[in-house]
Amino acid sequence: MSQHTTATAGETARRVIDNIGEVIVGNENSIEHLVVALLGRGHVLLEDVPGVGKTMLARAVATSFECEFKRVQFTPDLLPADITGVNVFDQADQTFEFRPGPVFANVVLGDEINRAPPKTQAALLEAMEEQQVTADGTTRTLPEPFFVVATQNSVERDRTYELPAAELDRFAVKLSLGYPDPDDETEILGRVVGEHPIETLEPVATTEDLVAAQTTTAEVTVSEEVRDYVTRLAGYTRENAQLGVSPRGSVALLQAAQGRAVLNDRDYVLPDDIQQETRPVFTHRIRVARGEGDPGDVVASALEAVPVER
Amino acid sequence: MSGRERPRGRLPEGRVRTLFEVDRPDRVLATGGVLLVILTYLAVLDRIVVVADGSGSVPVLAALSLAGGTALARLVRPRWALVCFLALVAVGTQQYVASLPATVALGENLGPFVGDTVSLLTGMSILRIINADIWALTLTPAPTVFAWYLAVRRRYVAGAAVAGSTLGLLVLTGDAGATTTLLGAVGVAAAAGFGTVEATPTAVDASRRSVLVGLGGAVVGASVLDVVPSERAGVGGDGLGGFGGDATTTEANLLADSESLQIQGSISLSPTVRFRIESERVGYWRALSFDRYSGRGWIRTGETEPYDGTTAPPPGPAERVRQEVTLAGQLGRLPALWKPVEVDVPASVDAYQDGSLAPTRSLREDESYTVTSARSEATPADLRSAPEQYPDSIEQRYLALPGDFPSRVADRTADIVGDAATAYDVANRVEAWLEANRDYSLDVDRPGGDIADQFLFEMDAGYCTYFATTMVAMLRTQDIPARFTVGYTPGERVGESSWVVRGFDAHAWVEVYFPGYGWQQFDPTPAGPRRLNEQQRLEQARLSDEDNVDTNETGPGEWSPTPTPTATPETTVSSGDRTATAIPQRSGVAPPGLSESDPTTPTPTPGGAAGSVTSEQAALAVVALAGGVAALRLAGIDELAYRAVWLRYQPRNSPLEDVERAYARAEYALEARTRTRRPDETVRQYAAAVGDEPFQRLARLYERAMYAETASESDADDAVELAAVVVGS
Repeated sequence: MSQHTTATAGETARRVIDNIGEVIVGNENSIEHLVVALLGRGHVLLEDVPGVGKTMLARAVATSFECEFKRVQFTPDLLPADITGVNVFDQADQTFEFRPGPVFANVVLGDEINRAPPKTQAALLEAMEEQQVTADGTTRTLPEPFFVVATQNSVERDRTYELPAAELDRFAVKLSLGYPDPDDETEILGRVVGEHPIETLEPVATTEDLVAAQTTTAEVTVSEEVRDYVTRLAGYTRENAQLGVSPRGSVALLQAAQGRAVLNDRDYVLPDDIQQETRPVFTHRIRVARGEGDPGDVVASALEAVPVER
Repeated sequence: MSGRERPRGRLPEGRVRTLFEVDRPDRVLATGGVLLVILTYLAVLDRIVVVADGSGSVPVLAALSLAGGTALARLVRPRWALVCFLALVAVGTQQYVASLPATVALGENLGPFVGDTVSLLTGMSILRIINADIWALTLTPAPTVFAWYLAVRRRYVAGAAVAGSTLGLLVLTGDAGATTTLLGAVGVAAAAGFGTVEATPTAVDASRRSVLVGLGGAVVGASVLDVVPSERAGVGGDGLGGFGGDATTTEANLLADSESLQIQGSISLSPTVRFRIESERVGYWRALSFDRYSGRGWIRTGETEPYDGTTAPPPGPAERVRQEVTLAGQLGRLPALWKPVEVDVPASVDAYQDGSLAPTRSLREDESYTVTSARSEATPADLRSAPEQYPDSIEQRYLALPGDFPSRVADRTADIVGDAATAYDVANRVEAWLEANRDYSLDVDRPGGDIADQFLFEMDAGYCTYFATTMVAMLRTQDIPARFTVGYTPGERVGESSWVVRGFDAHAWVEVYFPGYGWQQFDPTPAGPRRLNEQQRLEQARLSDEDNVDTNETGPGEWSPTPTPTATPETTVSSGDRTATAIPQRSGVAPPGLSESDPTTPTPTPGGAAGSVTSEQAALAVVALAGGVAALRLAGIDELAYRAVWLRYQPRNSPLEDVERAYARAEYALEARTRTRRPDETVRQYAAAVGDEPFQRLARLYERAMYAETASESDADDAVELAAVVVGS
């Protein structure tokens, strides 16, 4: 596996972002955050109203990197085996043969993840965390790269199984696309006349490019000062919310910031990178007591109150 | 820290707490601040008791009060402590009132009592109260117990307020000097500051600190401005006498203030004509006298009452002398022969307790008044035979010396008077000794320490104030009642019975009490050199054409006396067998041997500053210097100076440090020009918001050095260059 220079990795990432932009109109910020999370080997949770292009976004990412893409529609009757795969008895050979589930792909879209019961959710989350699945006592490693985009409906909250905090924590970032603004929507309407652009989307990088870029990202320098800054930001949320950001959240922020640095062709992290990634990385990890504002406010005040340099 | 959770001012039960906790320096310092304030006012009170020669001891009383305060703090709650405080105040007041003359009923005492308090608060020295020592002793316990109680209870600010109010009272009465006041202010500031820090462990915020600093500054500034001048001059220049604000002439020093007299250093002579007097008899034109000696000056104690038109003539043989005085300028006294018994003044008149009379307003130029005096005709033989049993009221008032008065003065005086048998002989010998053994000079450095002691042992020259002060003190050591008297010498004789009196004729001399004959005058100042000085000053003034030096009658050599000057019956001073202090003769011609270039010619010394620095001034200077340094530090001047150098000069180090420092310099310079960088702002954001192109390039280099920890030599060179551009632009 080769390692790219920061510039090459950054160039790759920007190409992919532009490519996704072909399909997803507007939302450049969300696309950037998503790619940055991808560079940092993080998984993404999209929470949104239906029909704003969540699936399209995941597919566009997969296509751009020439990755294998699988989609799982989570339903109340979905079983863990439906995700991880099952052993099937081969009558002819008198042996069990493993049929890999949809999780065995580079990019997995878990649609409406909160509709499935916790046990099924856990199967996907184990795969995300360990990058391996265990079926009938056998552990199988998932392909590299492995990137999960899960979606959640922010409407129709009944008959859903809300993700527990511990499982939310496993997503590096939570994004929301939101409705496009009127100009963008007009643009969208124009594009879907005739062939949908996703059908003609061309890959702009290889899977190997992605793995190399991820390796490069992991190598980005993080100075003492920046680590200290992250620690203080996380510490602030712990002091000012019912549930603050876990150490896993701090790690996720650092990895996302590394991705952001690569995107900007830098091989070291600046406090600016941290500040840009704090919101999507931190917000979904914070719980505030009822009637005390919302997690977004806590993150905003953390960014305001915590000095960049000690 | 568990101490923080403990409610303030309430001790946990059954737990003995040490007073000084090493781990809480703020508490120690706050307690020390309160103690400092307590000590400052105790020092002032102690001084009052010592000067008034009281029998009680402030240190003992203070030690008892501190012990009592500590005990109270361990035993009772604040409410009961307040009751104790009020009880102590009541007991103290009752003690003081009980000490007042029994002739007046308590109810009648209240009026003067309130009046006294008002005049105390408006600057009347406590020493002017007759029973100043008792007043001071009764004031000692209550605030001391209460302030210390509060300090031990950790209510530092309240404790400092109680002690500070007490000190404030003494500042208002003018009894607390500048150094004392400064120390007290430092104590109050320390107690308030550290007390606040103690109460709010999360440090004192800037606004509160600025309030404290402002308060401290105001107190210190006010005390320095107010108190220092009064220490310098002792004269307010109240316009009362028309002596002017310049206290450095003998006249202003001696006569401008009827309540107290601060002994000065060098002094000058004023040749201005003050009044013309018509009198069949000549003598010292007496204005008033002072009875209480403080070691540094004189204070007149007792009430001033409206003159009811009757004055008892002096006991013994007396001659009535009518004097008519016409003023040549404003004058707030009624100079006349001792003792005035009838006056006709175009203003209402006050009577002092020493028998002096003074107009309630300044008399103006061309106004005139007449005084009939009963002039004692006691002969030396009479005075020698006078009994030496003095009335209590005389002994109490005119024998007192400060408690710390050096005892060697009494020993030396006993040596000087030798076997003198009577009070009259003692007075004569002291007078003669001083006249013979000390030179006359207006150019003296005011000594530190007791004036009489210094003049007797350390100095060899002085002017009338020094001679008279020393003589009074010496006589009092020999149990002879004496007082310090000021007024005018006869002046220039311009006719058979006419005298013109100038400012430089202002004089101080001594009155000694003889039972059966009243107060008799003595003048220990050598008359010859004094008149010579005055004559030289007059000629100098005439040469330089000063205003109001001459009337149409005066002038060089116009009136020659025909009577023989010797053995005149007009000898004012009762030393009948000597003529040294007899009528001053107008000497139109300077004695041979002294030319105009005589070095003894007094030189006016504006400002009255003595040449040497007293220990008090040195202490004040040290405190002021420390305050100045603290103010500079507080104002950040030292940091500014350091910054100025730091900003412009960069020694080279490693490339990383060079870049970081170059950026720091540039940012500092830019912050001064635009705005400061917010804490939540990154270098890049700040550079984009306010920086110009060189600064942005420098910011990039800094980011690399700071966050990638890489910088090359050329980076460092670039950074320093860019910093120079940013700082310079």
